[in-house]
Amino acid sequence: MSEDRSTEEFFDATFREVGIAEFFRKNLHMLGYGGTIKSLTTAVHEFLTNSLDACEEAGILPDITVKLLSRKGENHYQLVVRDNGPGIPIKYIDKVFGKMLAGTKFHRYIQSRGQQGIGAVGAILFGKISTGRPFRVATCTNDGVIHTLVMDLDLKRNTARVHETIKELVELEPEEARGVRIEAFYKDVQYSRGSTGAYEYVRRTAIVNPHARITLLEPDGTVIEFPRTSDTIPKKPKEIKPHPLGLTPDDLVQMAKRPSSYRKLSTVLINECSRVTNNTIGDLQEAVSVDMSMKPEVLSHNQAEEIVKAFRRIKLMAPPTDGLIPIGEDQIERSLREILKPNYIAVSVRRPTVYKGGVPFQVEVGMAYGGEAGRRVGNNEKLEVLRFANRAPLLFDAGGCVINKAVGSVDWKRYGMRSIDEAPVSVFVNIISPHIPYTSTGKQAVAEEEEILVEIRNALMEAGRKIGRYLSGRRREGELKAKRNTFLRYIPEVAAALAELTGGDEEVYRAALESAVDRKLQLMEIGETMDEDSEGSPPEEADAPGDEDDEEESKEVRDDDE
Amino acid sequence: MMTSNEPTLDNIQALAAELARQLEGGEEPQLSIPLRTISNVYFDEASQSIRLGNKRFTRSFLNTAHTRRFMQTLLILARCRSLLEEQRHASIREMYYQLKRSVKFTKENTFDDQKESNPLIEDLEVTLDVLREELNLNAKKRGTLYGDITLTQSGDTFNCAKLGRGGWSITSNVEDIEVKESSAEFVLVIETDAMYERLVEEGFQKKHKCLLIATEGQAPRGARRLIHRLSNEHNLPIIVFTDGDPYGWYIYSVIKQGSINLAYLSKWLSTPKCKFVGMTMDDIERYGLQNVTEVLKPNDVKRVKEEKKYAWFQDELWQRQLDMALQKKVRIEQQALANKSLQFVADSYLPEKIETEDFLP
Repeated sequence: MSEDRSTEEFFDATFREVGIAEFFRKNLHMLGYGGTIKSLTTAVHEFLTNSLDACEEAGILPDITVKLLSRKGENHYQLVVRDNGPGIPIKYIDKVFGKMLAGTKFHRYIQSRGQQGIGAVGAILFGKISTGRPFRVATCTNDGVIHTLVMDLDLKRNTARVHETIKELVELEPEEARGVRIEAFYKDVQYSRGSTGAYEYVRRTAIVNPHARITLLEPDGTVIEFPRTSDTIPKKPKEIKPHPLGLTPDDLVQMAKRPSSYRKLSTVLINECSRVTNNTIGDLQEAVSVDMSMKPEVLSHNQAEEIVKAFRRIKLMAPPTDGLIPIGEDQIERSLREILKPNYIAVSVRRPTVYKGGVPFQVEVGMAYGGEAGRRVGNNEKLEVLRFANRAPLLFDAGGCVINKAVGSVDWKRYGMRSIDEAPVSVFVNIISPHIPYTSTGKQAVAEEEEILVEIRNALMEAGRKIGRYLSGRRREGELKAKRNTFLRYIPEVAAALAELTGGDEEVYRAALESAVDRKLQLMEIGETMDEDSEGSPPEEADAPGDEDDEEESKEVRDDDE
Repeated sequence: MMTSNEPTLDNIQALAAELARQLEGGEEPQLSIPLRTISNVYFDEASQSIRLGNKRFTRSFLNTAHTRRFMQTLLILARCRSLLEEQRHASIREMYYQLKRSVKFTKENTFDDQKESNPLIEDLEVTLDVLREELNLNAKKRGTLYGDITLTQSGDTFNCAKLGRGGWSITSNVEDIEVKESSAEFVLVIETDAMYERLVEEGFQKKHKCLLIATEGQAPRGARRLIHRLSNEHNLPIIVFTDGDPYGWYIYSVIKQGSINLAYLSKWLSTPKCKFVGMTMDDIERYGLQNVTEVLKPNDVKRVKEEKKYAWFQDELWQRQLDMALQKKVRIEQQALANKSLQFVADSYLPEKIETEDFLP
């Protein structure tokens, strides 16, 4: 028994509950804080996302400033993100910034950028661990009072500790004072303009949020403004009830146990799931041994499993897709035009559909050609794939992402792009869904669901066809230009020779030749005589096989006449 | 030919006026030029010569494949006109150099090579229906005449057997030649210079009362015109002696029937009455020359096959020669006869063949 007691003593001495915040402190990489560049990108991402979501919910056109100040030589940065959103009521402030897994989004089945309620706290946690410094939050709601708080995290209690509060009444119009300003410190991170750096994250965020104005102040003092290209605030995504085919047995158990006034399991299913009707319940009852009239709170996991399996055998309508809010063709085009200044843009927005039989999703694709589209590696142009999930840029794990797989599966040669990897092309893909199937908790790559792959591929091909038509038109334009140059090059000589021969006016001949060229090219543009040259016209060369004569030598190599 | 320039100038003027009219009328400026290709020549049985058909092609300024040549054609036309007005003559090479410069406002040459200007001069000859000489253009002289014939040219009178072993260099224009007298009974036209020199050294022309003409390869216009005149105006039989290969035989056919490229001049240049003495494929067996033949290269074989199709090679005796060449896959040079002895050609080969009239038509 002494052994038992020593075990117990050991447990008494060492066993304790680990707070969620404490857990993540030891596992920061799970939140995206690994690597100097990626860590800073993640922190920017968390605050920027929160600001955008807050503005959208409140129906405000976002105006966000992201400022990075560096202490030279130390990889030590101060990050400031300020928005013009609705602000955070002071009584929630410690929860918003101090408590993990708390928030307004986690418990709702809705298309949104953030989902888990970890983001902002994670970003603050990482700052605290790397520098030990408290962070600073200023918030102002419509009441015109700015509260500035200096705060610290209490990891054990999964909450925030406020060191200092400054309350300040300002004489500003609400929309000027309103918003949140967060200031945090980071060490061992790095600002980068590379493909996974904070700059690229902000730029891509600007591309998918044409209604937002985002200003980025880089550590070296450079100010980059991504202008607002649309004054339309995206419609609020509707909260949609989960479709039976998207449910796991555990989801079902949780749903049944949630306190409610439902007396029967069937009522829970009808009211809490989409596309479940009385008829569905009838079909389901025939397929399972579980009594559909049972009390919901006593549903066991095994019973739930039976029901989930049965859902796959009965007829169900596809889920409603009106909860999905795409960016839309018009806004994608405007945004790509403003930020990439390309020569040509093709956009394809697919209709909403479902994957796994029950999860609605929608794909929108834009392709920009030329201008600042594509990446520049030295002097070479390269393909750029801009991946987004619910308007949030995906910067990492590109190789494992369904979007890159789809891009690689298209035969771009058919659309006039011999080597898509070397083309000055930016491919924009946004996947929208209340449940994006990420490959991992890092949320940086979307899993290869067959339906999603096919939708992206079809959208890419649709956009590719448009690009192909543009490119062939441009080639033709180039050909016409080359033809014009050829004609114009010889006009002075021809006009002079003709004037010498006839005694006419050289200038008159020149003008007449130029207008003849214009008329000819107009006809060519219409396409009437496009193929005349060289193929269509009779042979110009008077060389017949074996045609020899006095000046042309037959056998011995000899100089020509004289 | 040394007549007035007026008709030629009129032709040039008419052509230029037509171009000006096209421009004023909003038409595409273009030249219509008789086509000088195999597709537009035919073998005229009556005259036994190659003649030009009626097909023409259009060289348009507004066709990028033609534009540069259109410009070049006009440059040549304008320069020919000024030559005629100034009553000066130029060689076709001088013409090339006179016009060679940068195209105005560019770094491109008006002409890169004389090969660009020569065919355009021929285009103008046939378009304007005049001879090159009528445009005051001359070609480099080539070819030699040797033997007892007294000629006058530019006020000089000379006997072509008394000009040293080199003989008389046949001028590119022989219209002003007048034959005073000659003891020659026939003319032997020889492809290679070396064979000509061999025959001069052997005194062949004296022994056999003939004239020797060396064409030095393909016969130039001057030589062809001279042969034509000696045959037509002086009734001298013409016997042609070339290498036994598709090129030698073609040299003979050009002298006899004219060429594809200059089919429009056949009337002036061809000599249908001439005969071919050798070399033939039969000579190889007959004179035991099997060891001194050369192998026909793939291009030579191709050329033989082309010749087999020409209307003017359809005589069965010629078809037989061409077939033998394809079969034996060899060629035989004139100078291979030196394998017997240096004098063999002058003492045996030619006298025997000529005496027995062992000719090909």
